[in-house]
Amino acid sequence: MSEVMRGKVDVLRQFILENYLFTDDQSKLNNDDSFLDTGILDSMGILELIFYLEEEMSIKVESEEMIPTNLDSIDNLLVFIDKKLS
Amino acid sequence: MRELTLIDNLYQLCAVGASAEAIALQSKNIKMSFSQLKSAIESVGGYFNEIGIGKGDRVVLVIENSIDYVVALYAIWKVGGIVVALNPQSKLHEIKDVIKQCSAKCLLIEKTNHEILDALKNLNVILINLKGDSVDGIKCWNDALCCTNYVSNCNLNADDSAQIIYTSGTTGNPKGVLLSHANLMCNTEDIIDYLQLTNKDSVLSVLPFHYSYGNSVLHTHIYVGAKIIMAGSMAFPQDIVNSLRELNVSGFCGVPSTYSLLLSHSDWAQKKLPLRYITQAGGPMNKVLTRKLLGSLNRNTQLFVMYGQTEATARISWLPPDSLEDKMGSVGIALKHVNIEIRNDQEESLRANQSGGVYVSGNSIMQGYWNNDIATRHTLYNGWLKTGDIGYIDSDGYLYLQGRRNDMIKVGSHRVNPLELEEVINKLLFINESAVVGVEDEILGQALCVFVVGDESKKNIYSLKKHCREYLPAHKIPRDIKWVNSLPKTASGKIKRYQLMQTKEVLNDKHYL
Repeated sequence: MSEVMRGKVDVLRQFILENYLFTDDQSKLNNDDSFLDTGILDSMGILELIFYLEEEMSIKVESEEMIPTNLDSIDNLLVFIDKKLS
Repeated sequence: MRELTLIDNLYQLCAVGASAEAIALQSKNIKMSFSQLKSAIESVGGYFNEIGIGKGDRVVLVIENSIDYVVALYAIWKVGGIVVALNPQSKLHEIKDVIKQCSAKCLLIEKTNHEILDALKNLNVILINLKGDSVDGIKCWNDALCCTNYVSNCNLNADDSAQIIYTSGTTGNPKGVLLSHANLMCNTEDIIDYLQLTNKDSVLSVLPFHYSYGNSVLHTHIYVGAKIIMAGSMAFPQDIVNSLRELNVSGFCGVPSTYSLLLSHSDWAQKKLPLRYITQAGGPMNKVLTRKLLGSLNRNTQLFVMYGQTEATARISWLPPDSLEDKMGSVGIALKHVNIEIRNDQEESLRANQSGGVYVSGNSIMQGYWNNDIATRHTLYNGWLKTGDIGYIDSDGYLYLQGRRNDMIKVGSHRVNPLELEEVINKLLFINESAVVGVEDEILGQALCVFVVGDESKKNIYSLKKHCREYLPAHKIPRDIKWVNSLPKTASGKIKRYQLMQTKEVLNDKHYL
């Protein structure tokens, strides 16, 4: 993983931990945890995550890209972001 | 001759070869025909008999929409039990409260977390887990599905209680709407009548079955031998639209936020879907969204705007699609076996176009609130249900709603009682008091905003949200937190929520904290 992507993992993890898990305990979030299955995010949470990607990371998420494969875990987000940036 | 129930109807359907072999349920790639559904109900029913669950016993379901959910629900009815379905995201204390309140005999869950399972084992209920094997103190769902015992006849009557649906009460005091088999049967048949559902229909269901709207979608489609396809979360609107296209379904049901999400975050409007009907209930949908939705539909798709309450089983009125333009803003006319009256504060009936409280009667009106005579007496009068809504009926018989008398907040498809949240929030030492109100939200209809009096700091905002997350499911966590010096109150000390909703801060400040 490149230095840039490693930085993005940390930023995304921090966003989820602070805003949805309300903790700084890194062990509460695994990179392959499904946000929906684990109850970390609900449908509004996913929308907020998209706003975050668009506002803070300048990544435009098209309607057809709003699928679990792209957005439902830290791992999935990274693959998606990598694809969008390349 | 005794009146039929929904489970009798399902068995009758299975007696006809062609209907029996039709697909009843589909979840992901798993399909189940009506005859397979009946066999599964027989097995699980036989198992319930074996472990001592019988007529009148309350069985709590804390499981996601799934084929297993439907099997469990009908199997409970087969042995005469009463279904108590909860939000699968319910917190441990909420499950405990309900088990205690309805003296449940059995709990069906799907959990892998050992801490939760250990806590549930001590509740003095028969515990069945849909995930994992049978272990000490926990029975395994697969054993129920594989049971070969014959299910005994429980002599079910239409007036027997079938279901308790919990609506938002305060913590430790949930209000359970008690519905009979006759209530469910009557409302189901009335809905089928106006939607003109047949066994050729198929519906993609995104609504949770544990709420009355999702519950009615399930029963109406099963009743006519139609297919129910369980969809994933509304978190991914495009996924839903893709499924609607691929599966070629004829129907779709949603609340206003469902349609708002589909219109704003998918290509729903760009490529029109060949649906026969879509339904909308679960709170008023504004005219702008209604027109936008109408404009996005194929010309053969009918939009049914509906109104209802859990206390009336599900539906009370429907707006015939061809009246939608003329009667925009109305929730329509009463169902076939429902009467609606508008009354003043003295309980006197009012004439057309006069505004007052909405009262409803008919065979779909609940038996009462479970184990709560006081609440029942405040809501049911001589067979009439006081809905708590305010409205008028025009000279053509169309009902228009103008507001609610109580403070319930509708967040997406969920109804939230502000008192419950305030109880949870007020437990924090740095909070002196709090008031929760619903504020306008473009997608959800309403979002939760809490006004707090107490020690303001960034750390405390963090602690407040963390505390809420620990005790409340996601949809009950406040979006906005506003710190104020005091709360506006009436002379008797009651919080003036209406005034809070009008404050400049709420109206102008859209920032998330």
